[in-house]
Amino acid sequence: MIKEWLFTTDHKRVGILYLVGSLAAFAVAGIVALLIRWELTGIGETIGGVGPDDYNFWLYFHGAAMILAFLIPGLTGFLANYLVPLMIGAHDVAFPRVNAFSVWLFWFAIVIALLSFVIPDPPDIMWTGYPPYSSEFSPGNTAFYVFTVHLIGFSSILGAVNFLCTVIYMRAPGMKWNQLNFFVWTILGAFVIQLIFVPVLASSVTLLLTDKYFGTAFFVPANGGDVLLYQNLFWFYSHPAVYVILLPAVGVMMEIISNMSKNPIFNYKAAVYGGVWGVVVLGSDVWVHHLYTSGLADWIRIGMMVTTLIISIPIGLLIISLVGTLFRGSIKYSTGMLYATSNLFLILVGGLTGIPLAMTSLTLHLAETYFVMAHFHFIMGIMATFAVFAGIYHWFPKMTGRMYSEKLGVIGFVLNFVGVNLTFWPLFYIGFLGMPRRYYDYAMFPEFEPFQVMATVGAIVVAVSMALNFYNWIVSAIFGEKAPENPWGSNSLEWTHCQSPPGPGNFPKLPKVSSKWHPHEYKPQVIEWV
Amino acid sequence: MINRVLLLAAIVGIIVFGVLPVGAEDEVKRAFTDHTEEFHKVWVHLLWDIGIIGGIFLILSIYFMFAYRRKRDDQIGNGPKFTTMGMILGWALIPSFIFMADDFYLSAQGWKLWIDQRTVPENAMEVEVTGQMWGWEFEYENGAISDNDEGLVVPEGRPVVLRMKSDDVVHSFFIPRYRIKEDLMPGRVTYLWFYPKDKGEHVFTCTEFCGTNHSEMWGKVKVVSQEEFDEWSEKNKG
Amino acid sequence: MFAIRMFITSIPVAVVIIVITCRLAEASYKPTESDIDPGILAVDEEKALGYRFNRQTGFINDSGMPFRLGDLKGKSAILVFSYYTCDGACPAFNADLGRLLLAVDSLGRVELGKDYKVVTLSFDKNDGVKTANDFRKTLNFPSKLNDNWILGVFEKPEQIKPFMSDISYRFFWSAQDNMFLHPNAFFFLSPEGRIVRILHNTTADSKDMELALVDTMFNRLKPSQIITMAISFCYSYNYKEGKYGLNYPLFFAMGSLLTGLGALGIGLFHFIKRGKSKEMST
Repeated sequence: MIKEWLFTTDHKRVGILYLVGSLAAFAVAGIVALLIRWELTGIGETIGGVGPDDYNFWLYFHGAAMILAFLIPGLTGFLANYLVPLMIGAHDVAFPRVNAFSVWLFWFAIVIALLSFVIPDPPDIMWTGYPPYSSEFSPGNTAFYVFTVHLIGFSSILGAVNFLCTVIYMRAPGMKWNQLNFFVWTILGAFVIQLIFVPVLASSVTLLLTDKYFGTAFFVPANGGDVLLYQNLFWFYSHPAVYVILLPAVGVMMEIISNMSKNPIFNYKAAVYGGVWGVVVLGSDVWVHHLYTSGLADWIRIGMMVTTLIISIPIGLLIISLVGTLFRGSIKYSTGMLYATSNLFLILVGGLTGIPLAMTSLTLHLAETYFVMAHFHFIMGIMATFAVFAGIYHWFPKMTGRMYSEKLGVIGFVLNFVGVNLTFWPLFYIGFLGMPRRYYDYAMFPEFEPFQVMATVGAIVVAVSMALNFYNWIVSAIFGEKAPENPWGSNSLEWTHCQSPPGPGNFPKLPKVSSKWHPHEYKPQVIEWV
Repeated sequence: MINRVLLLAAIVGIIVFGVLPVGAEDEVKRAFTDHTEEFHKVWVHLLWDIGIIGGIFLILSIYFMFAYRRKRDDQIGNGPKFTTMGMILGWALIPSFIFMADDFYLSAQGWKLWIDQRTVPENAMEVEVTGQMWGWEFEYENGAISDNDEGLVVPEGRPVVLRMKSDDVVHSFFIPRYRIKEDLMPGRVTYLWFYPKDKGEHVFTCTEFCGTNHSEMWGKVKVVSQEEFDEWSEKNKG
Repeated sequence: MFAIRMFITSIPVAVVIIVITCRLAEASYKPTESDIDPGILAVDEEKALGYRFNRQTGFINDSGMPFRLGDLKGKSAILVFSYYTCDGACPAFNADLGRLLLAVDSLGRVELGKDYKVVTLSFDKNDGVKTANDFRKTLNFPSKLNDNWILGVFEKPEQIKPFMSDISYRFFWSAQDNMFLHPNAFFFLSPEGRIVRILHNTTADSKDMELALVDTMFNRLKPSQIITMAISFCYSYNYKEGKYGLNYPLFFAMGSLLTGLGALGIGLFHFIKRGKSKEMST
């Protein structure tokens, strides 16, 4: 049994391995987040014996683990692995062994990241790792950060090659490009971004490593290096990385909303070619909005303000499609659908609070405050997490063949939604009033204490809901009722043509689709079996 | 139960997008009145802008979420079919142009403010700021020296320009009251300026992560009268 | 399988690139020895960078007209300090600058007069319009340099000391040598009048001069100068050597980006080619 899982090349098992790994990272990083919030409830040292160095390490771990080890692998590892071959009617991915290799790379990365809890000088350089702090002054072991990035980057490049090949060459006979599931499109977009930009991040952190340990001077100004260059290179990848997270998250939402309202996607073609590919194309020339206060030339900042604002166009198209798909639908609410529809609210809040942050002149005030922090937690942290959760709930019957407890799921959802709003709205407010990010102590702003306490209460509510969700999944996977074959009445291949859970090779007979078929059409149709 | 959840979500949404801009405007008027006025004009415009966009989308989606609930088990959706090119392009291009118009409107507003923020007045008093782990040093034109315990003492009614550099890592100098910040780093010189119109004390902080005592790198901007300033700078010379 | 083979063959290439880049960076890491005693004749660069000279201090040029640094508004400038009765080093130093600027001009990206001016100021209180005139004759510049080169003396000699000490520019009269000892430095001023870069004639070449001039006007991009700006991104200033060096991390990152784009491009190429051959065979 253990051997089977260790040496598996089955995309579904690889997907589950990704899920377990990323949820483990999520759980640890979530507990760390609770500790961070608890530390901030009072001014000065709140948890006995916890100094700023511990706190800074927590911040580093929370950021790096949530983004690199939970969101990206959760969406492009777990969901892509599990769903893409099923949705396009393939028996597996193009290179199953490469796929298995990449999941184990990811697991090693998680182990390295977790090791930083036991090594003497854990990295404390934040997930951005700006030099010269990370390369000259930090007492922490920058190498652990760099190797985590390397392994996860390598794993995603392999994943990118694999999935691009899979979608291009292994679609079911007769499946045209415009008959792809929306989620498959978003995964394609995300992997194109990964393939192009991950090498840039990998090379820049490598230079950081040689600066720190081999005495080179790539980022040391006294010897001809340039401090700002690292920041540019870092965000040149890391801003597109936000879209690596956003696109599949929107894809999951679109799948679920379309499925649960039994409605075709509103303007599918505009959402795919304008929305998804628009984000991929425009996403690469907006990175300077992370550097509005970093001392770059004024005209660069103004130029990037315009491009950053323009990105609202493809995102707007995606949101129009999301909302429009509800129009004249036949909506039934499951836990997954609740997560997906509440995501509309989160994506609006997170997206629209991004607009002041796109404007250089307002960002001079807002940069590096809790406002930014609340903004990206809404759009990236919570929105994407909700999407992963929606995905887990929606495809739970497919993965386990059993039904989760709807009641627990809804209670968990309500607590989750209330908790995150309780946590981050106060932070928007004190962020606007000037509370800086990454502060262990806030003696300069004693009046913010009640807001910090409120946020911590919210975080505890979220933690309770997480416990409920995890309990629900584990117990239901073992003891849950048997699920019907197609509980949501979907027309997508993974529901109509294979068992739950799918056996080896996925489809008893490889599906062949006619030109009238579409995964998001819900008219009674004739499905051809080969 | 689910209906009640949705109702709650609707109320929260309406409060957030409907009332927030109004409430924030009051807050802004009360707290800030000097040269940051333009900032707040843009900020309030922007809150209205995103409030309206967000409000439209939110009200529509909440309405749809209620109105189109499934009545019978075998019911399927009856959404519009995008069969003609005109319909596809229309629904893509018209919203795109609306968004783009809004983007350019906001860009223009932001640009105008940006020019104000980056054009240092000719008569500004110059203070040299050096950041180091973990404190600040201020050097005035007449040689007076101050640090973060003493504070950044400036006379009222005269713009101040800070010429900033760092001895070690990247720092960032932020004065929430004057809505301004800029990074400091080794090897480059950066600027920011502000206009201390009225007397008072305001917090400044470091906003770029710089190690263990990052959160201790703060102090007060002390705006005093010209006489007090002259006396102070004479005392702190050298 | 093609993609994997591509990937494996790219590993040794990547290793070679890493090794070469490290070597290059190491080479640029070695500090150079200088034969000027840094204690006396160097400008305190740390203090001077970003400094703005008093814009209102009055000067008189060699034709007797008063001017101020504020009059240069909107144009970059190179500022040097000399004294006009000097018979060897100063004319040579100014001539050096002239030679370098002609070389910059011949590159055609930054133009003397249109983009920037040169100002020589005398810190000798005995200098006047006449000695300045003589100095200009000694220099005997071609007209391009001559027209855009201002030779000035202080209107009020008592302003010399504070003006110079603000940037810790130290100079003194050596009775033994019968001359002033002073740093030979080029101060690059931005259109706002701030010191953006300090170069020395002993180390700087025309490339450094050009890049420093681009640095001064970096904030005022003209669309026609976009290529010049792009070139300047490829270099970064080395404070230890006083020269510009290639910005290696940028090339490294560009290489990585091209790797990604190349992988995607080759994949697409094959996909399209395969698609075509499939069509033909059916």
